[in-house]
Amino acid sequence: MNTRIIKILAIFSGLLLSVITFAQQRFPRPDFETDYEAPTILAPEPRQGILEYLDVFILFIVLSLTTWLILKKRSRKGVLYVSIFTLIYFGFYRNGCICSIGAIQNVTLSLVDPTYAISLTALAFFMLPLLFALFAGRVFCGGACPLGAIQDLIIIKPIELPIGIRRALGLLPYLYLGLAVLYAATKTDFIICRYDPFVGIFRMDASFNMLVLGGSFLIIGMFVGRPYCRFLCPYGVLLSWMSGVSKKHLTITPSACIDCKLCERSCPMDAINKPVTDPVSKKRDVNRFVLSTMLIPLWILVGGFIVSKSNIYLSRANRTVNLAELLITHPELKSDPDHIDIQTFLASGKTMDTLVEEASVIRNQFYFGGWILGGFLGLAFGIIFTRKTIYRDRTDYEPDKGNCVSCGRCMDFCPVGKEDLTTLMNLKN
Amino acid sequence: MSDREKQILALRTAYISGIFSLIICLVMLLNYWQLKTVDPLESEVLKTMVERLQEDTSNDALKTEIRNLDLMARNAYFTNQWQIRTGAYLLIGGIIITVIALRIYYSLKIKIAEPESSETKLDIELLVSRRWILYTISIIFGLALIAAFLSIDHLSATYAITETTNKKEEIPVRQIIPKDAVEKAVTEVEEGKTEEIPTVTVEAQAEASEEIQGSATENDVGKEPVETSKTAPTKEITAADLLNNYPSFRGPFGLGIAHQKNIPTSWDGASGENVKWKVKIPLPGFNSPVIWGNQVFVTGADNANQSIYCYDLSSGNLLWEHKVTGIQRPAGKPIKPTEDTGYAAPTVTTDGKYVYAIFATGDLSCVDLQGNRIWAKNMGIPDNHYGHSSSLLLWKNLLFIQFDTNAGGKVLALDTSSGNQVWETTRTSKVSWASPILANLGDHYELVLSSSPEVASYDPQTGKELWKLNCLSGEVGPSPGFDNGVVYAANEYANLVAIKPGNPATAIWETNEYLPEVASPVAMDGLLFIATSYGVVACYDASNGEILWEYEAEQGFYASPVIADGKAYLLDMDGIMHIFAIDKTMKLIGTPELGEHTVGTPAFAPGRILLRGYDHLFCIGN
Amino acid sequence: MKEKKENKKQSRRDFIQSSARYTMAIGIGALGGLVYSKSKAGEYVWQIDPFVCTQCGRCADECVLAPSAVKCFHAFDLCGYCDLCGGYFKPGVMDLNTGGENQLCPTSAIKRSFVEDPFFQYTIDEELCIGCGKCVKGCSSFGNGSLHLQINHELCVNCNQCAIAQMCPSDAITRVAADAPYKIKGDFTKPTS
Repeated sequence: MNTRIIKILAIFSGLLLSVITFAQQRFPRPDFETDYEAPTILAPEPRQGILEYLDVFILFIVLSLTTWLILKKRSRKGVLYVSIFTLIYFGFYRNGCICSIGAIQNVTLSLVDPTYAISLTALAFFMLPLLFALFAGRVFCGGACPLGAIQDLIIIKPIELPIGIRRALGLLPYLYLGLAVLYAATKTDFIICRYDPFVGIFRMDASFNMLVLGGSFLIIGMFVGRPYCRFLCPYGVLLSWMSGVSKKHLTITPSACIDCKLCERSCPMDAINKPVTDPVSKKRDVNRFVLSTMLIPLWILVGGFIVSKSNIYLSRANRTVNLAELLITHPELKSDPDHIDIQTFLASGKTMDTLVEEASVIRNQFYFGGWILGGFLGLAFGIIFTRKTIYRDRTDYEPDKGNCVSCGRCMDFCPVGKEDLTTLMNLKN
Repeated sequence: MSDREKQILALRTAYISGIFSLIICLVMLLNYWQLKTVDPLESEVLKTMVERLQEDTSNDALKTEIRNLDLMARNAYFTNQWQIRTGAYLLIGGIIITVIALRIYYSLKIKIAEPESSETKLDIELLVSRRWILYTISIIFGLALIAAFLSIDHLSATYAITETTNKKEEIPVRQIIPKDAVEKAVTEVEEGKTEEIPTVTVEAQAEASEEIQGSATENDVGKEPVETSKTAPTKEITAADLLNNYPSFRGPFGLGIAHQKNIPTSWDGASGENVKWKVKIPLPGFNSPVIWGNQVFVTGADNANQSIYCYDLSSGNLLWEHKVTGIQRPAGKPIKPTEDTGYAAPTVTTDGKYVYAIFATGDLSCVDLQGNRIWAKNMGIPDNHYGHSSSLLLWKNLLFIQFDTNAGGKVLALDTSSGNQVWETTRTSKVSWASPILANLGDHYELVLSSSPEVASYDPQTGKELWKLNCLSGEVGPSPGFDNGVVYAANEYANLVAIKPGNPATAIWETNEYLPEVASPVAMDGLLFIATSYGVVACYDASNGEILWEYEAEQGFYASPVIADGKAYLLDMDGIMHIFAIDKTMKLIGTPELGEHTVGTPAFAPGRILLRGYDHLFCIGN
Repeated sequence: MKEKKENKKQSRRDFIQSSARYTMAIGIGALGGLVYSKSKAGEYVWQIDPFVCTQCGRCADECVLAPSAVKCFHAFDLCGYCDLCGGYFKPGVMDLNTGGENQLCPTSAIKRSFVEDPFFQYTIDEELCIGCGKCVKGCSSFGNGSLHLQINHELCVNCNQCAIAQMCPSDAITRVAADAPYKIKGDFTKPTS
C-alpha cells in the first residue's frame, strides 16, 4: 500500500530527524465532530524532595547511633542490628544510591563544572561521615554504609591475609580515588558508580557483568573480610585520614589492656595492631626514615610525570575523545549506517575540526589531571612507605586507627570488664 | 535444643538453601545465555516472514502465521522478564538463608581457641610491607608507562580531511558522436543490449561557468582543447515550440496535456510487441523523460554520481552522458534521500537550446543539446527528508525552481543562459514535493505552485505573489492541474479543490473523496482525472466536483495522468497503462503492460510514448 | 625518667594528632562551604529532551533496569490522528488493521482505536512499552512527532550517573530539577531560535 515509507528502518542516520527541531505539524490536529476527548498523559512524579532530606536525617541518626554503640555501649550486637537496618534501608530500599562513596564524584564535579549545582543531599552524604570520622573513627563503615553492611554480614569464615598482600592491595584505593576524581573532573564518567559491585544486587537489576562482579565480591567476602572496603573503597581513603587523627576511636578494651591475646584473631579485617614486644626489633633506622622522607618529592614528580604521559590512554574513556580518534583512524566507518554514534555525529552538522578541538581540550585536561593524579599517587606511596620505616611503641592491642571499620567484633572478645564470660567462651575464633 | 542439635540443623539448612541457591543461579545463567542468542523481540525469522508477506499480500495463511509468531515472541519476552525477576528474589532469599545458617553454624562450632603466640618480628613485617608496597607502586607506574608509550596520539597528528570537498573543478567528460553516426538508423534493440557507436572522449578546458567559444567538429577530435560553439538559436522560445515538444515534467507548461498525435494504445513490454526500443539507464532515477525534437533527456544519480543522459528518439542510442560534478556545495549535513525518492527525482526541462537538470543534492546544471556544460551551480543543500523532488520549468528566458524545504520555502527564477538569479520570492509554505505549472489566463501567465498549506501563484516575470489560497495540508506531492481558467490542487488526507485565480482567489468547489498522494490531477474538456496511490482512478466533473466514474486498478498510481490524442493515459506502478477515453462515462480503451515497475510520468512524441521504468527507458511505438 | 619521656612523646603525639584533626576539620569545613556555595536545594532527576533525541534505541538497552524506565509518551494535542500512523504501522504496510504483521511496536504496546472517520486514536500501554523508540522514529519522520520518549519517574531509580545518558549519542538526557521532571511535548515546546 503506501510504499512511500518502504524500508524506513533501513535508514538509521539521524539526518531525517532534524525536522523535529521545527516542531512541525504536518498533519494538523483534526476538529472532531463527535465529542471526543483525548486521554490525559500520566506523568508520575519522582520521589518527593522531602524524602531526600529524610535520608540525610536517617544517615545522621544511624551515624550517631553507631557512634554511641561503639564508644559508649560497646555492643557488637547493636552495631550488627544497625548494619542490618542500613542494608535494608540504604541498600535495598534506596537501591544504594546516592551513597557517600559516589558523592566524591559529585563534589569533584561541582568544583570543576560551574553548570552543575550539587544537591544538598549529596553534599551531606559526603560530609557527614567524614565529620563523624574525625571525632569517632570510621563509624560510617561500621554501621551506616550499605556496601560495608552487605560485606560484613556475609563474612562466614574469614582468613588472615599475608601482610604483603594486604599492604600491596592497600594501595589500590588510592589509585581508585585518584582515577575517580580525574574521570569525574573531566566529566568523562562516574567510575565509582559504574563499577560498584553491590548496586546491582541492591537494585536487583543489573547487567550480567555487574552481577558477576557483585557475586564474586560476595563469594570472596565470605572468606576475606570486607574486600571492597579494604582494597578498593575510595571513600575509605578519606575516612582513614580522618579516622587516623580522630579524637575518640573504638578501643578493644574498655579500660587497660591486659595482654590476654584473646582478641588477636578476632578481626576479620586484620586491623588489630599487636603490641611490640620484641626488644630486638626496637632498633630504629632513622636514616631509612629520613631518606624515605626526602625521596617523597621525587616520587611526586616521577608519579606526576608518568601518569601525565599516559593521558592519551586514560582520555580514551571519554566519549568525545573516543569518537574523534575513531573517526580519524577509521574514516571508512562514516559510511557504516549501523554505527549510531558516528551517524549521529555526522548528522549533527558538527565539523570534524570542532570535534578534534574538543577532544584535544579534554586530552589536555587529562594531561594536567594526570600530573595531579600521579603526584598524589607518588605522595601517597611515599608517605605509606615512609610510615613503614618507623614504628611506634605499643603495649596494648589496639585497632589500627586508619583501617579499623568499627564493626565492633573485637570488643566481644575482650574479657576486661565483662561480668558474664560465658558468651565470651562461646565465641568462635 | 542443644548446641550440637542447633549446629546440625544450621548446617543442614545451609546445605539445602545453598544447593537451592546454586540451582536457581544455574537456571538464571542458562536463561541469560538463551536470551543472548535469541532475543525474542528482534526475531530474524519474523522479519523475513513479513518481507515475504509484503511481496505476497493476499496470503492469509502467512498472515496468521506471522501473527501467532509475533504473539509468541512478545509473550516470551514478558515471561522472561517475570522469570528473571522471580529468580532474583528466590536467589536472594536463598543466599540470605544460607548465610544466616552458616553463620549460626560457625558461631556454634568451636570455642575460643588458644591464642597462638605468633610472634612475627616487627622489622621483618615492616620490611615485607615496604617491599610489597614498592612492588605495587612499580606495577602501577609500570603499567602507566606502557600505556603512555604504546598509545599513539591521533588527535595531534595532522589528520587528512577525508571528506570530498572538491576544491578544483573537475572537467565533465563528454562523448562526442560524429554527426553522421547519429543519423544511422538502428533497428529494434534486443533486451539490454544497445548497439555501440564509436565514441570519442575529449577533455575540455577547465573553465568557470562561462560559455565556451569555438566550434567542435570531427576534425578537432583528439587535438588540443576543444571548444564548443554557441550554436544556440537566438530567437525566444514560443508557446508553440513548447507545445510541439514535451519539454518538462507533465508536458508543456506542466499541465499534463500532450499535443502529439497517433499515440499507440497497445503494446507489450515483455514480448517487445510495439516496443521500438528499450535501453538500460546506467544510474537510477525516478524522473520522467523529456523530449525535444529527436532527443530524449533523462537523469540518473546515486550517492556518488549524477548524470544527464541523452538518447536518440528513433534508435535509443545513448547520444551523450554528461556527468554533473565539480559544483561547489555549501558545507552542511550530507543529504540522504529515501529510497523511494532517490537522488534524481526532479525531471529536467529544456527549451530546445539547453537542458536544465537539478538533483537532490541541490546541484543544478545547464548543458547544451550536445551535452556540453554551459553553467552549473548549487542551489543550497535542500533540507528535505524524502529528497528534493520538484521538477524544473521554464518560460522564455527564465528557469523556475520550486525550492520548498524544511528550513523555509522559496520560488526563484534564473536566467537560462547564465544561471544568474533574476528574482526570488520567499514562500510561507512548508516542505513540498510538487512541481510548478504555468497557467495561461488569457492575457497573462501565472506560475502556480502547490504546497502545504497554500496553493500560490506568482508572476513569472517578476516573482510577485499574485494570490494564494490556504486549502491543503500534509505532505504535498501532487502538482497543480489547470484547465480553462481553473486551477485544480489536491493532496491525500487533505482535499481536492478547484480554485478560481484572482485577487483574492476563491475555491469553487472542494471534495475529499478520492485523493492522490503523488500523481497530479489533470483536467480537459470539463473532466478532471485523479489517480490515487491505492489504485483508484476517479473522473470528476471539473465544474462542480461530482464524481462521474471510478475505476479500480490492482496497483496504485504514482505517475501523473497525461491526456494525449483524446485519451487519458494512466500508468500504475506495476507498469500497466490504463487508457481511458475522455468521456463522462468510463470507457477503458486498453491496459497494455510494460513488464517493469514504473513511477515516472510518460512522455509523448508523435506516434510514440516514452516510459521510464525502474531500470530501462522504453520507447513505445513503431 | 623514661616515663616522663614517654609522657612527653605521648603529649607531642597528641598535639600533632589534634592539630592534624583540627586542620582536617577546617579543611573539610572549607571544602564543604565552597561546594555549598555551588549547591542548590532541590534534587535532580534525569530526563530526555525529545527534540534532541534521535531515537537510536539505546534507551531500551542501556537502562540499568529491565525493562527500561524509559517509556513512550503520547502528546495527544500534537497528534494528527492519522489513519496511516507512522508510529503504529510498519513501513510498506498493506492493510491498515491491527494485525501483528503490520505493527511496528515489537511488544504491541500501542493500541489503535477508531474515533471517527478517518481518525484513529493511538494510546501507549506503559506496561508493555520497552522504550525502544521505533514508534517515535516513525512518528517523527512521517508524522507530527507527537510520540516521544520520556523517563518515567515512578520507575527510574535516579542513579547518580544515568547509564543511558552516558551512551546517548546526541546527549539528549540531562539533569533537570525534580519539580519539573518532564519534557513532554505540547506543553514543552522547543524555543525557536
